[in-house]
Amino acid sequence: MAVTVRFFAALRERVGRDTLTIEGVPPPSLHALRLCIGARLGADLVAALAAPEIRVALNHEFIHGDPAFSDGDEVAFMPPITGG
Amino acid sequence: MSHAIRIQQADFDVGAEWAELQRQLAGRAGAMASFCGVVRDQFDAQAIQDLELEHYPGMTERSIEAVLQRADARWTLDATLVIHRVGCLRPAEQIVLVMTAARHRQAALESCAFIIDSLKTEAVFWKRERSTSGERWIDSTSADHTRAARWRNERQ
Repeated sequence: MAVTVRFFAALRERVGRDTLTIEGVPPPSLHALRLCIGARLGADLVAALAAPEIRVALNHEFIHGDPAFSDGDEVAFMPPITGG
Repeated sequence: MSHAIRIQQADFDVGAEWAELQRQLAGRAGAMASFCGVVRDQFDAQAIQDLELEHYPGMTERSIEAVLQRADARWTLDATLVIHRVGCLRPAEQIVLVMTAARHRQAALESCAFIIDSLKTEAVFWKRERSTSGERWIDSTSADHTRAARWRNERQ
């Protein structure tokens, strides 16, 4: 079982990688996922990933609220976007 | 009603895209509108060297599709097209093309403006600008959010 986490743009540069695989039972909440990431890549990331400007997507959809994660999910942490 | 979305590194030919859409429509639409975005050569009096565009394959297309669906729900349209480039772009290069077609001009013109305004705040892209003063990630501006909000606040 695994959840794939992806980081983009300025966040990818800060984290130092674009992908992280969380093996085992999927985290039961977004906060639990951030704690898992912090334990692997640095505790300071827990607050950075919870910053208000950071948007989170689950399987290519922006999430609102706090979803439960399942095996095979892809979660993306995204700094502010701009197209056009 | 057709939606076409293309994310690509390569440049695009506005004239060729226009002609192809016109051919596909075969006279059904009496109005076509387009917007083309180009990399500026200056920001805050600093000379821009290049712009790096990053995207999230799969989600980026989905975010644009959501904008096109909202345009479709609001105006009666015959076709919409968005081409968005990614990778490293230099000043004067084209970044984005929006085309819309409708029976009448108001729907074509308004939906074209709505789509580009919405892409500024909703399309999943990141831009890093390299200028004479260094590098920075660009956020959508408060003016971008004001323009996007204006569409939400207007009566439909």
